[in-house]
Amino acid sequence: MLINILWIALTNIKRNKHSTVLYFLMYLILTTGIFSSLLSISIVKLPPIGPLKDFFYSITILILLVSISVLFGLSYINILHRKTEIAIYRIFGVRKSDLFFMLSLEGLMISTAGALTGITLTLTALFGAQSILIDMIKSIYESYIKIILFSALRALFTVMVINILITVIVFALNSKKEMEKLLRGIF
Amino acid sequence: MSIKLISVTKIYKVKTSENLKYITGIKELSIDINEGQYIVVSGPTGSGKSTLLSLLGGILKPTRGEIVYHNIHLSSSRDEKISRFREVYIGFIPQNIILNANMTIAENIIAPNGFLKKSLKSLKIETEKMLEKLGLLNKKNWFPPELSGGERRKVMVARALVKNPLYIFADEPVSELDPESRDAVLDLLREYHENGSGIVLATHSKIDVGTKADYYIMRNGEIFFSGDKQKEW
Repeated sequence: MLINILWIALTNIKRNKHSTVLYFLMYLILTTGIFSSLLSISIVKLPPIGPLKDFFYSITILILLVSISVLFGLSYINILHRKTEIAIYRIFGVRKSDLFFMLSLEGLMISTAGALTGITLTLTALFGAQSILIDMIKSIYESYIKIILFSALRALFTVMVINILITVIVFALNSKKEMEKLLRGIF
Repeated sequence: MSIKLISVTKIYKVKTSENLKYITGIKELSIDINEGQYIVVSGPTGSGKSTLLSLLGGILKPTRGEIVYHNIHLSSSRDEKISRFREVYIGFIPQNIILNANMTIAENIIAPNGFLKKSLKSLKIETEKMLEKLGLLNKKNWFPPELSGGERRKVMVARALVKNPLYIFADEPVSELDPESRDAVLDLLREYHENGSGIVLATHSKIDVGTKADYYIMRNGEIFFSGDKQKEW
């Protein structure tokens, strides 16, 4: 059954091109922001530039809040557009838990692709331009690669958690009486 | 195995921008549907046919009364259990054309049935067989907006039947169809009936289902005629 659900999720991603691209870009921007902020925070942990810490934290929180709000809005509109589709699945006996799993799988695939692209782009910018940031990290930490990888993993994990939380909330808000409304043509 | 409706009443709570209305869909209705039975329900618009089918399919919950699927009591069962029953045993054909416009017709049939414990390969084969029977195999990669109203209705029939359900609840499955397509759909339903499926078909016009059936006529949410011969309402 897992293969079937994976096939359905991939078909949905392929068929809903516009929302897929929009989500992909949003997650790319979100990950780039989180990853860059996490890297910056790793640097400002040292005492000489400690006062900057609050500033970086504020920027990170701002990026997170704005991105989460935009993503929540996008997901809400998206699920409203997909109400008919969801009601069809429910009429055919698909359980809410299976539907939630399918929607989460779709979200995870898009967000992971967006996040990995965002991380790759940030790394390319960092190493490609030989930026001051890399020099700073190099001067502070010998194992700077470890710092970068750790920040990348944290960014990826944060994005996935955000994605799942948004899916849970939006799905819970929109899964009442969907079948009755569809059959009576009052969506 | 049977589905029982025991003194079921369904009242819709309709909220508009101006007021709140209570509309009775079904009144104190009791009916048994057995495996292998063919029931034709007819009656005028608003007589409660669609409500009856939705209640039988476990899509609506009754306001009063009880619905029993074999040993499952609808009012006291969790949604997961009722959904599972619907998923495995019931094929539902809604009255409105309800298809996913972003998916091809083959995908429209496979996706809602893809949560069953069936391999994707067998589902694809079954879907192709079903589309062939309904004369739509050459259009399997078309999208619903590219099809005529009758063809879309046939896709909905295929979607409900592909899982080989024990019960088929068909709400106006042959409306909008030309005589040839109408016969193809009714022949297909008869084939399922002969293989043991219980069928409840709602219609507002007189139709020949081509096999022995029980006929009910509904009016104002009640059954006022039942017999083995079709009668004008």
